[in-house]
Amino acid sequence: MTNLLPHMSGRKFAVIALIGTAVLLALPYFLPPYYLGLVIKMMIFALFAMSLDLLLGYTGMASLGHAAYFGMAAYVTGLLALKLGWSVWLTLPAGILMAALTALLLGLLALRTRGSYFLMITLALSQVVWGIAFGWRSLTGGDDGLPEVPRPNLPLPWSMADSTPFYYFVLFFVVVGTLLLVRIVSSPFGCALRGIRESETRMLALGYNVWRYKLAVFVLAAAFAGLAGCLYVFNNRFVSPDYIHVARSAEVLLMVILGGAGTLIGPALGAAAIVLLENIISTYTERWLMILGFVYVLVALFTPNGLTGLIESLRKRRSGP
Amino acid sequence: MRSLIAVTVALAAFGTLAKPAFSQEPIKIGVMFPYTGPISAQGRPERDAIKQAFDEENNTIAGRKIELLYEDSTGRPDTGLTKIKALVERDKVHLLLSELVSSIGAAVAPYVNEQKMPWISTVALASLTRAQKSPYIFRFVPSSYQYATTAAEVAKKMGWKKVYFIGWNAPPSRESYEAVKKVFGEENVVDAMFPNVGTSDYAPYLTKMDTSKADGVFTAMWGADAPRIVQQYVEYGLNKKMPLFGIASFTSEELLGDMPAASVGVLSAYTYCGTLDTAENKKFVEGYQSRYKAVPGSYQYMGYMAAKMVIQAIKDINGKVEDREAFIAALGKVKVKGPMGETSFDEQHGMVADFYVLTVEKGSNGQLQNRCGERIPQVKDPYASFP
Repeated sequence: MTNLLPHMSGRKFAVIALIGTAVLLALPYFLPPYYLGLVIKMMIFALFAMSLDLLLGYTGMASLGHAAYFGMAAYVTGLLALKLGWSVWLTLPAGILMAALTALLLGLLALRTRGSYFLMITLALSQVVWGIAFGWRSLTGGDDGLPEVPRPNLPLPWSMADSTPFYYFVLFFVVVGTLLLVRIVSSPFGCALRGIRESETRMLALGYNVWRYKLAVFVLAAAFAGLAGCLYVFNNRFVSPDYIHVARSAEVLLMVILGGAGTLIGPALGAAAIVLLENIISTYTERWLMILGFVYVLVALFTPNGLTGLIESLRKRRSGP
Repeated sequence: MRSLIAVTVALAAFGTLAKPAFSQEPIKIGVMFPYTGPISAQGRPERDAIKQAFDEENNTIAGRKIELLYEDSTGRPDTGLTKIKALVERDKVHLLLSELVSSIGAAVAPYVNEQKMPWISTVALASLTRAQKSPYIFRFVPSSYQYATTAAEVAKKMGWKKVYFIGWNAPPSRESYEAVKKVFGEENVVDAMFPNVGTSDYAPYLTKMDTSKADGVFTAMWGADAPRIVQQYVEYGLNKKMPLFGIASFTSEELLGDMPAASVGVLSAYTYCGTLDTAENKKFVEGYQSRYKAVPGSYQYMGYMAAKMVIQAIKDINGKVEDREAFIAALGKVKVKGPMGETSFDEQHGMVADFYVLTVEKGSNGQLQNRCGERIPQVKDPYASFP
């Protein structure tokens, strides 16, 4: 579990996780619906950012096209729910599967490169997906997207159209997703990924099939991004090409960097911070982009390891050298 | 002591009873437009014009203060939806006077309908008064079918028989093309071309156009792309043989500053003409110029007039905006005489307004301006041709 936050004992982590879960479970009882909606958005983007961190932080592959899988899953889920009226138990796996398949296909191309070339080719491939969503008007609605996607209809006494039951719906999937991610990064597979990040050639020498590992993590990361995309469609009840746009890929990359790559809790914090800043500051000033820019610059200058790095260094200072 | 308390309580109770409950609180209006991002060049001026309209009423209507609450939609649909939720659920606005981006309009419409929140939009999305129509949604801007059908009919009356069409690869241009096809017949459209938004070089498209084959060219693109295509159209000398007819706000006043001098003669047909000589237009243009040091165009006009419609509806129900059903009923019936003549909403809540045939000309100060030609009175959204 040390990968969640570096230098944290298992017991301490368990306590923090328990408190966190308790707070999240209790939130609907003291937050008004609008703010609950913001928390839902934060959780979805937290999952999305954590999925990218699997690539960026753990395997050392900077992808600038991660929104392609988020958006692909969103479109598949939205289309199946809207046009065929499928239930959530079919649309959700279908969305995730489609994201993973797309990643498998695009990964075969993208993984032939590394470093900044990998960044460029993931960007280009995600633009292809965006172009399809934008251009195929009869299926995707083009620029206007697909409005009026229904919320999931579960055999429960509560309607998912209300924010509290929907909050718990999202919370369930985000928690399950997070636990799976924790399991992945602390498994031998996760160790191999970190090995690849540190030295690909050494892993090759040790007999690991690096390329296969990279493809596997690329597909896995896309699947989790797909889960986030599915949840986002249900939250907004529409999907548009904007979900796949390169600006969204860049945004989620910034979330990971702001929070601290290479930890799972960092990207989640980064996602929460950016969603909050975007929605709260912009109410007060039109210059909110400038403020956000300053935050990025300050983080890059003073806490190169992101928010988690900041927390760590504060903790170290307090406990003495 | 006890009696003193009783008196105080009685007085306090009387105090709350004496004042009518609704007149104390201000009327809160949510004003969300893109203030940042690529479409902020249209969003900010439109908001400014809305402010102007309420300032002209001293921000008090039917004895109640008006409070405008601003949110930045950033031009992105998911952000726009979150911001609309903030206005409705957090700020508890009484009505929304918001947005011009069609993808945001499509995303917001189901939510607004569910919340039964009166929303006056300036989103030119045809579906807002069709598939997505709602008693609570009003579209104060012509739909794509409405403005393109009008443009095509004007050109047909001018004697055009064969035409070219060039427009963005985007919904409003595609829908404009549908309208042009309907008016002229598909066999009379020599070629239709759909370059992407932000294309910098139109040579591949313009060189395909044969001046002997058509009487004119329709173009449906806006923003920075409009001056660019005019520039290249003139450079190729096409304007001497085939007139260019811009659809909707193609020659809007705020774009004329970027148009080349040779664009004199470019045609369009739309609901706003800056040089129209009416007292209301003079008040609007001079008021806007003195506040914001710029010439208002069609976006400002839509914002200004949409606000005027809201103001009249609030007056008609004597400020009781808490009664949403009464408010939307009043708004549906409102007729306001504005800078360009009378405007109102049709039975599906689309805009009904006079259109004008516009021709770009050189003004007395050497700047380009629109000459106001024939008035086409009270144009309605063509629901029968485009259900």
